[in-house]
Amino acid sequence: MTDDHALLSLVYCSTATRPFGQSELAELLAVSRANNDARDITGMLLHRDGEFVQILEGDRYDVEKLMTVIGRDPRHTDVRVLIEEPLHERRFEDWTMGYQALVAPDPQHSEGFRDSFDDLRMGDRDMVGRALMELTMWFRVRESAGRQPVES
Amino acid sequence: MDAPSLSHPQALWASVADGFYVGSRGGTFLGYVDRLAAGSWRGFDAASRPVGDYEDHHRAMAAVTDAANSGTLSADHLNPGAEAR
Repeated sequence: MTDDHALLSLVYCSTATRPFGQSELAELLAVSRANNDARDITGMLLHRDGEFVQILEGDRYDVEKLMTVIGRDPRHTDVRVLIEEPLHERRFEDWTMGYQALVAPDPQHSEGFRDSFDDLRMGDRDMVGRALMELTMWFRVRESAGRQPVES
Repeated sequence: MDAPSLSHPQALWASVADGFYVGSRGGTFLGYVDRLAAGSWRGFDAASRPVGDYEDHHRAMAAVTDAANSGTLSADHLNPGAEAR
């Protein structure tokens, strides 16, 4: 396997240049899922209060090429790559672009705790790695719940 | 909650989304706490096995931390694809 075809995981964050409602998100997901499916790219999109975090994984060449296109998208700005690391196995192989609505924690219940989304976007390398693990866990639990009967 | 010690340093709990917390300690995943529809809180260990249901999230976190103290589970299963650096 050449370096271009080695599996790569890339995580970036960005800020929407205009309000992003459900219809804009749905359109963004539909287009990115179709494009990612064609390139065998998988990943997850997080969106909260106009801030995006996206995880892309696939062949290094394809991911880096896609990232160049994403960086030019006028719908967002302040695009920053947070993590770029090799993988030997995909973490989101079932999702061309997984998405779960991320509702900000209730301030009443979040005081005194780290905020994973903020740590992922603004933390140091250790914080980013931990926050990514936390958000991935949340995503997997929510995805799993969506496939099972609701429990109370 | 027990005071931190050398063998069990302080657990770190992060608020991930409304009603969902994840605990870790030194990069090791401890488990998570999720709010149920009825308003109570359920703790899960690192293998996503239920630890118990509690009236508030603090008690649920303490139960998950206590459960983790009785065994060590690696966070690696959460990031099975990550290569060691």
